[in-house]
Amino acid sequence: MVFFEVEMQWNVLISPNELDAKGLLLQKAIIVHLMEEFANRKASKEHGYYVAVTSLNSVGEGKVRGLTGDVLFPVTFSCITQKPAKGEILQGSVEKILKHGIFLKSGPMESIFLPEKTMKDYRYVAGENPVFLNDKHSKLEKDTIVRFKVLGFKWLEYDRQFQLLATLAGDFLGPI
Amino acid sequence: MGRKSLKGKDSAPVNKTRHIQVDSSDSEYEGFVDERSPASAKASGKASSDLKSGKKKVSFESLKTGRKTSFETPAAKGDWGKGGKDFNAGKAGGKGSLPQATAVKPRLTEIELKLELELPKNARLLMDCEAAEILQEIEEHKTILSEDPKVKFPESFNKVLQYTKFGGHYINSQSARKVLETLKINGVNDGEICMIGNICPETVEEVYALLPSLKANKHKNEGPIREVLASLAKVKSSK
Repeated sequence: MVFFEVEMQWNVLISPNELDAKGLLLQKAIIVHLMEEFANRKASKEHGYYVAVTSLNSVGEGKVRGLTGDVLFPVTFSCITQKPAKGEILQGSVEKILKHGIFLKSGPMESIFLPEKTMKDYRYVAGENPVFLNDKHSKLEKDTIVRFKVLGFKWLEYDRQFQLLATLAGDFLGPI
Repeated sequence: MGRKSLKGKDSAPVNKTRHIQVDSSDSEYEGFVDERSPASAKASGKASSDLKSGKKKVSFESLKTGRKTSFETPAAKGDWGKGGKDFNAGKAGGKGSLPQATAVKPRLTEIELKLELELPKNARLLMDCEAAEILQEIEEHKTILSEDPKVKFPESFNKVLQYTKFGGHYINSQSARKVLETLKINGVNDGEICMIGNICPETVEEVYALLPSLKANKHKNEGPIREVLASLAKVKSSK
């Protein structure tokens, strides 16, 4: 997953009861609302997972919403995001082992699938705690750290997260 | 969700030549491929029936434009995993891409898959170590900030912080960045520089194995890469 530092512009809605205090409290209210919105949105297809707000760059002129008395402020801020990239090399830990592949997790991503076909010489070994074994007795079991390559990924709009397809095909890939 | 019909709209002789035509897909997918068990693939000569039993969908971003791409599969054994599937579908940011209609036999186990990185606008690429430093600073402020119950941190924050700590390699990110920047004049792009910094490879062979796109300029960049790895070794923290 690559990290981006992105500058974005969002609108923050401040309710009237937060407005009548002094300027400093208003700024705090804006930051708090921004962080809340940032956390709620979780991720976007363009930028990836929203990790943290780093700075508030500017706050524009507020516009009063006629009926409710709320004020809308356009806010420009910088933040860190993390997004998968096709062809990149990542590390993750084994979460679940199934016959047709392994589920991994890495950083904010909990939905990484490593198909059995990409696992070169590893074979599925069934049992109460299934594992994948290869001829050199290298084992892939729960919590093993694995280095893999990203074959492709998918943005799930409804869940607001990414789903990754991984491969171990290639040198220097596999359990660490 | 509905499965897409694999037969395509014209009645190409699917049985004999094992041509597969995949219909247009959702724009959300970026080269995500369907995995089917080999057993079902042997069932019949028809391409479409091969894909009935699996649970995942087949979608290719490249077909967003509505055109069909045909793939040839090797006739042997009906093993879909090694079939010709075109992976060159992805483009970050969901922009329309031209289908690679003539790509033949790229495999699921594609070793030579190159890094595809598109920078969103107003974004700067950070190496893991650089992000780690920033996040660590925020973590330190977090305890103070969290005294206010209204302050909310994203779900990913903690997970990502752990992720960066796990990979922590260098004493500080500026020295690593300085060393890696020297590769730019040798034609290494930002994405590749970032990968090298993140992976922290030990040998030049490892670099070429993991980042096959660099092989194209091997004669030009091998020396500099070797030097850079040596310099990075010096600024690595002992963990």
